[in-house]
Amino acid sequence: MSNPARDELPTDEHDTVFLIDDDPGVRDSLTLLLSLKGIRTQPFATAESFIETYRPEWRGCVLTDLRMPGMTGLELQAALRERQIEVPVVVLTAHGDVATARAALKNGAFDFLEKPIDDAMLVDVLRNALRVDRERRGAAAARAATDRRLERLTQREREILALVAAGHQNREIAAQLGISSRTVEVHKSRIMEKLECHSLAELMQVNRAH
Amino acid sequence: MPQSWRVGAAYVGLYLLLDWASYVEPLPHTSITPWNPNTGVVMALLLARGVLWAPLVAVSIFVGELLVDQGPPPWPVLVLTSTYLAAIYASAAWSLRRLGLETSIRTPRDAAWFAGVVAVASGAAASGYIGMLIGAGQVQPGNTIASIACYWIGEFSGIIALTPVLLLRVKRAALWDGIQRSRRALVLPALGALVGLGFAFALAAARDVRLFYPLFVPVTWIALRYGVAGAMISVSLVQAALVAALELTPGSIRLFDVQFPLLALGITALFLGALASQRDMALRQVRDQDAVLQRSLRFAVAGQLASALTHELNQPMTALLSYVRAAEVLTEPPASSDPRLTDTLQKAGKEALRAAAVLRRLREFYRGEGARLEPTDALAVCTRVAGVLRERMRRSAVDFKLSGRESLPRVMVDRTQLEIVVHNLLSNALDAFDALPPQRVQPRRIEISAETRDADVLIAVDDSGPGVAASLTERLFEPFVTSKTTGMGLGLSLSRTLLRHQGGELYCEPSRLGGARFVIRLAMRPTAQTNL
Repeated sequence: MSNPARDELPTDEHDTVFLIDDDPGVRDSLTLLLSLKGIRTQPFATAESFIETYRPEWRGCVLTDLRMPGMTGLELQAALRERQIEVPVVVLTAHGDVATARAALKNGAFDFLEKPIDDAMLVDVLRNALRVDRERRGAAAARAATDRRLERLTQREREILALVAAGHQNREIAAQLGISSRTVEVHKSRIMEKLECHSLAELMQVNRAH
Repeated sequence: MPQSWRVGAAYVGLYLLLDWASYVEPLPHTSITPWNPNTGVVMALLLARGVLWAPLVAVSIFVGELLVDQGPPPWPVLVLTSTYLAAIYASAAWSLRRLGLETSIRTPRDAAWFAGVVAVASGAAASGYIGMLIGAGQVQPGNTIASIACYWIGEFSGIIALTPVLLLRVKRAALWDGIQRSRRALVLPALGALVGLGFAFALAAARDVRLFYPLFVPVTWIALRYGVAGAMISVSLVQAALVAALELTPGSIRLFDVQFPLLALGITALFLGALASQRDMALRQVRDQDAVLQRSLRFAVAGQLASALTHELNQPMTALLSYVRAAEVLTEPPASSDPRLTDTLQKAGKEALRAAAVLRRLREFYRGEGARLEPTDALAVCTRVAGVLRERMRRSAVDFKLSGRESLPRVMVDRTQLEIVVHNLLSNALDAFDALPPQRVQPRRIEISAETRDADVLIAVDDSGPGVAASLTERLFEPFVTSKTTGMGLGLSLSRTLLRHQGGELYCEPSRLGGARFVIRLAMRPTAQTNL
């Protein structure tokens, strides 16, 4: 879980739109257009090739066609879910109807667009998807940092943190664990130090976030 | 002149004319003649216009006897008999109108009611009329039975032949059109009429009642060919011809002798005509149903075509639009200083969007409303569709069987769309047989069967045809894929799409009959609609 690269928020330039479409014309033209609009784009001819080459450190969003020979857009969504790849998926279909849109959105699609689409709307939706991915990764990174800090605690410190979080006074904790109040106090200050907290309130927040 | 006056005048004119023309061989001092077509006019008026016209009927009968009879009975007797006859026929007309027979006779059941009511009414009219004349001393009591019989059959015969003819609703333009179009087809009935006329005069000349029976041949043929209308027109003509022939041939046999055969001819023709009319109507219904189904199939196919077209064209359209937008970015100043280029590219982009909008509208138009799911008896749908195609099956010498439990649970499906799918599958099977060389004699069988599995109903269409080539099985349900020499390759694709829209499925497997087996799976309960 500890990947230093994930700790800081990724910058815009690293975000990529992974464009999956079986039509070479669509692939080429959209890649060109999006690059000119300042969005890095990586085209794939099939959903399978995207799944196979996918690396966890890739960040950005997927822009996929629905009807493709081989794996369809909906199957791609299922495959991503199965591999716990939480990348936002924007569906762009040449065959839009209510039933398909509903199925795609129910599968967790970020948005559903119909071909042909004008650039303003497409860019808008993709920027949104990239932002959501960034925020998601930011939240994941923060959670990972907390996890790492919590890992530094000893068994005894964890017990005391749990009791503090449950709202017990030092004296009660001391009595329960058969140690002195003074020792509890020492443990508590060490916990604060390890979790990089400055107040009891902050400590409670970290615990809850966990 | 208001319409009712015209009707009244026409009625009185026609009545008096026929009364005069048919005044042959009367019993002395009475209007008891063996043939009374004028009563046919009476019944037609009362049936078409209602019993409120009964007073006019009474007056016309009174006037008719006064003018036509040679030595009519004293007028108080005439008043009594005219009123009585008018009342009897008014009540007969009232009963027939209650049965809904005021316009035409369409089925053998109609014919039976019509003949029955008319028989009773004319019997009552005859016995009452003769009774009154005997009471008034006009007729010798010795002839009672013979007089009643003569009058009865004359009335019965006149009504049964002429009333249905007068009740025909003829659209003049349509009739003229029909005659123009099928002039050659009218040669045969005309020939039939001539033969009838010939036999009528031959009978009169030879003084042989047996010559009456050949008359049944043309009349029967016309009845079967042209229904009630043709039947009753021909019977009326035969009656008129026979009466004319017997009257014009001095010393010939008496009309009384052919009175009964004439009635028999009328009744026979009426029933045969009704049977033919009913059959024609049923055939027309089946044809109409088939036409409706074909039309909706064509419409659905057009929709499928539009949908496929939209999908195929939307891809290049997307590329086109994106290239244009990219070019717009690339030509932004300072890359290009010509403002016309930017303007031109903007216009090109707008046109691409317009083309896309046209495609979308086309697809939405053909997609129409969504499916209307309702609890449906799937086997009943199959039975109806098979009924529509029965004629084709007979022509292709196909042995058709439909089996399944009577208590098959109902399925949630759009009935019309299921009809389209079943029609498509049966047509495909028939096309497969028709494509075989005729010398390949093999059992040609199509079977529809139904069963339930879990929460689904499976309907299978099996055939003993050549089956589906292995290379085609996978792609059979894609648009534009077909094994026929003529065909768009859209039927199966469309059928599957329709079923999937309703949570159903359509698939193909080898049949135990040796050909192909297509299975329709339908859910008993509605499920979420899906398109993929």
